[in-house]
Parts: sequence; C-alpha cells; structure tokens
Amino acid sequence: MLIWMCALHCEAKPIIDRYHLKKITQSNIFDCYQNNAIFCVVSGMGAINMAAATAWCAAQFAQNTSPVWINLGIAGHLDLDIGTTILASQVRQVGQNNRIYPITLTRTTMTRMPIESQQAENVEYDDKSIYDLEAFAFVKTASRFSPLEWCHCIKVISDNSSTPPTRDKARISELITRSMPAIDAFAQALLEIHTDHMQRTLTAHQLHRFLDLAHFSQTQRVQLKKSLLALLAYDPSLDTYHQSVSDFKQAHQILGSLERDLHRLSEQL
Amino acid sequence: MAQTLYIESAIRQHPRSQEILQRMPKSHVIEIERYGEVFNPKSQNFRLQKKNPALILSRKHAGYVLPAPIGYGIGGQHNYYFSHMLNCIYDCRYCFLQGMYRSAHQVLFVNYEDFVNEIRHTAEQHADEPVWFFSGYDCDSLAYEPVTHFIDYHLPAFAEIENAWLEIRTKSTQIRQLLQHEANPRVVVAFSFSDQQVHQHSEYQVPSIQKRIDAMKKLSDQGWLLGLRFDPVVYHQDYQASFNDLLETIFSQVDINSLHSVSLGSFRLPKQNFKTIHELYPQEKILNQPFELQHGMVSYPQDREHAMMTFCEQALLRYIPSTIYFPCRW
Ligand code: SF4
Repeated sequence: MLIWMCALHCEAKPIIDRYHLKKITQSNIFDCYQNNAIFCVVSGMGAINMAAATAWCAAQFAQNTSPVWINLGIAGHLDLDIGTTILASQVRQVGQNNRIYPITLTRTTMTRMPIESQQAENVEYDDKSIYDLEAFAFVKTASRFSPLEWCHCIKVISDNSSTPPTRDKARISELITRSMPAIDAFAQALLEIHTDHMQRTLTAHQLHRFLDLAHFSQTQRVQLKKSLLALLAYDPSLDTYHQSVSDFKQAHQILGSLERDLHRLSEQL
Repeated sequence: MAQTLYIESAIRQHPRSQEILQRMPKSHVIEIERYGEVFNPKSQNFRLQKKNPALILSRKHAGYVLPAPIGYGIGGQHNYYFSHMLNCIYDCRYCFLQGMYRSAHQVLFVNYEDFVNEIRHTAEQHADEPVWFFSGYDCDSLAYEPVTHFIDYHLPAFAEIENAWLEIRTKSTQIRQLLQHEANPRVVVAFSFSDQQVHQHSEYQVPSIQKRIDAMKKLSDQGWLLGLRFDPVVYHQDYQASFNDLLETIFSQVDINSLHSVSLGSFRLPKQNFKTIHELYPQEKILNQPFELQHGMVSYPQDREHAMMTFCEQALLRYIPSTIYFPCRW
C-alpha cells in the first residue's frame, strides 16, 4: 500500500492523473483518492492539517499494516533551479532541535537535501536546506505507523530568491508533473521492496482459518501466529498445515502439531 | 560501498574523516550532530536497512575498552574488547548484532587514538602480564578495512604496548593491509567458520570457505599467527558430516603450526536478543528449531547441545593438540 500525502489539490493532481485515482466519496473529512492499493489524501496547508490527515489516514486505511508514505509538494530554496526535485535526507521543524532522517533503500536520481519546515511561508532562504510547511509534521506522524524506510518527502522547487512563491495552481501542478518520471521511479522501486517485505506477513484470513478450529487463549494465539508465519515459508497457502490439524478440537493439539512440523522442517537446511 | 554517509559535524574536519570522504566520493554525505540521531530511533527496521546500510562517521566519547564476556578468552587471564565499529557488512542470520541495534547502518568511530590510549592504560594496569584485546565483537574487524584502515593504525600501536595481545576476528578476506606489515607475534588473526550448509543458508555476503582458507594460507606464509573460531556451531540434520567436511577442507590446507588457538561454541543468544531477531526473521530455519532457555540464554536443549559439543570437540582434537583448544563455556 502506498499513501501519497499532499497539502494542496494542485500538488495531488499529478498523482491522481498518473495513477488514475478516483475520489472516495464516503470520506468527508479529507479529500481522498484511490486506485487499488494507491491512495492520495489532500490535507490542507500547514503542519497541523498534515499531522491530522496522516493520523486519520493511518486509522482509515492502514490498520494492521505498515504502508509506504510519501509527502509530495512544493518548496523553496535560495538558488536551486525551479523544478528541481528533492528527496528529503533530513526533516526538521524550524525552532526545534529534533531532526528525523528518512532512510533511503533505493538509488534515486533526485537530489537529497535537508528540509526545514516552517510555521508560515518565508522567503528568507539559505542554501543548506529547502523550506516547506509540512514535511516534519508528516514524517513525525507517519513514522508512528511505518518505519522510517517507508516514510519519505519529495519536494519540487517552486520558488527561490529570484522567483517568489507562486499561488498559480496550474503552474504548481505542471512543475510536479514534469518531475513525475523520477518521482514515480522512486515510488515504484520502494513499492517493489515493500511488496516483497509484506509477502512475508500473515493475513487476517489465514489466521482466522486456524482460529476457527478451536478456542485459543491470548498466549496460544500469539504462539499460533508465530508458527503460521514461519510455516508460510514452506506453504504460502498454509493449506497443507490446515488439513493436517483440521481434526483436532483443542488448541494445544493444533499448536503441538504445527510446532512439530516446523521443527522437522527447520532442521533440514 | 555505502551510498549514504552520515557524518557528525564535529568530526567532519578530522583527518581520518577527510580520508574516508575521499575514499567514498560517490556517497551522498549528510551532516548530523550525534550518531544516535540516525542509529537509535525506534521507528526503523534492521532487516530493511540491511538492503542498503549507510556508513556513519562518529566520535566515541567513553567506554573505549570493556571487559570481555565470560567464555570469550583464549587462554589469557585478562580479556578486554574494543569496537572501532558497530555492525557488519555481512549478514549472518545467527549474528547477535541483529538483535542488538535498531539500525543496520555501520558506525565507525574515527578517534582511534582514544581507543589506543585506553588500551595502553588498561595494559599498564596488568603490567608484566599478558592482556588480551579482542577486536571484532561488535563488528567484523577486517570487512570494512578498505574504508577504515584500522590495521594501519592499530598494528604499529599494539606493537609498542609490550604486554598487549590482539585478536582480530573476521570472516573477511581483506588481508591486503595485514600483508603489508610484518607479522607480529602478539597478534592473532582469527577466522570464523560454519560448515558449508550453514554458510550457504545463513551467511549472506560472507566470502566462501575456500576464499577464507586462501587468506589464511597467505597470512600463514608470512608468519602470522592464526586462530580458528567455530562459534556458533549451528544444528541441522547433517551437521556431523558437514562439520567433518569443513575440518578436512581446512586442515588439509592450513598449516597447523601457524595455529595459535581454536575455539568452539554452540549457537546461543540472550533471550531478548533472540526474540528481536526472531521477530525480524520469523521464517528463518535456524531460528525455528527447538530451543530452551538456560540462564537467560536461548540455546539448544541440553542433550542436543551436549551431543553437538562432544562430537565437534572429538572431531577437532583429531587435528589439533588440546593445548590450543578453547571451548566457549557460558
Ligand atoms: S560476520 Fe560476524 S559480525 Fe558480521 S554478520 Fe556475520 S556473525 Fe555478525
């Protein structure tokens, strides 16, 4: 699952177009768009809106899973060319000491730089960081739900010391659209790693097939989960193991049988 | 080579940092205040980071030399370890480092001088007695040598501390720097081995057994003292035949006279460490075998462990004298 978080509609539009996302009509708190496992949410401007939307989104779409999160938007810098695409190497809230470092797992053609998130728009640029409003609030919130390997900020430079911040929505969308090949390549590479990683997790359906066979205490549930997760490596459907325990009526019999299978298989390298 | 290099602002101008920056011109450099900002946050995944670990250049401020854990020694009375690095570029599934740190990034402490000062001071406390210093407890001593040049600094420094013995523990074949120095009779280069099946199944990115033997032969030809470390021995159905094969492969090529010490220990991990690693790799075969909890350590059931140790010990003692054999007792 990939969740794009944008502050503005015009920042989200290139994503909505590229991935053919459709508006989710039942959501009336934040505007949300979806196509299968890709979501895009428009938070509104500023740190508070972004933090609220990210937390809401996690509760809404990402329960029991750690999605990939990307905050996409525009930013300013002293002298970087308009349209330069930046991947955050560090995010910091201006006035706070706390810094967070998103962790990059893939190669990228994007420039990596620190982002300083400000309280309000500011044109006192320097050349060490780029400036936005939401990145820190986004990473701080998203990293409560996913590890920092899955939380990234991508910003397209829209203003610098010779070009003031723009309110032109079409211009903002156009700037981001031009950067989409690099942004998409990064997102796809990350998603590939994410999909591979998540394949090793047990689905609620797989777990419930076994839970339905007997009454499991809380401790036994944990034990069951562990065994099933390990046995997935040998039979991704778990059918073989379900069949072998389906006649048992007691949780301890099921757990004992699964554990014996697991031990036997684990001893053959 | 790491794509990302984090560097503490305070040591950016340190000569060793500058040299490393020159050796890694393609890495993306990110300045940080303290390595803990990157290394310690909760919200990170060791397993994911192993796909692309960064290098963090840092300064260590205290605790340069620590007493070695019980059972770590090879005959000496005074045993200490020191870690110029945290983490390892290899990826062994039984490695305790996986459960030790939240991050898989490599941390390199560039202030070698402070380590050596404390090593000297520690050695002075046991004047006239040999004192062992083990490198390679929190890392692999040599694997990152092309970047760290650890050997170039530490070998001459150790040569000057007359009662200090150094063990360089490794699974690496990065011996070029060692070969440029004359063999030091108080330095043991100890190579760790698992049998071929465990190597293939659980030691990712680790050089092959043969390549490590080739490295040992080159060192032995130049007069270096060698160590063999069979720790941990990992159980599997064919462990006996595989262990015998491993010994045959090694001892048919490595001169026994160059061996300083051989140690042996079975797989065990502290309870919390094991739990963390199992959560990271729930499908890993070697972590899903029957285990018992003994004295806070997760290990094989006693009868299995006893049988393994007895078998491996007898096999080893067919090749080596008992005087250089050191079982790891814990
Ligand atoms: S070589 Fe040693 S330190 Fe490195 S991963 Fe393997 S066991 Fe751990």
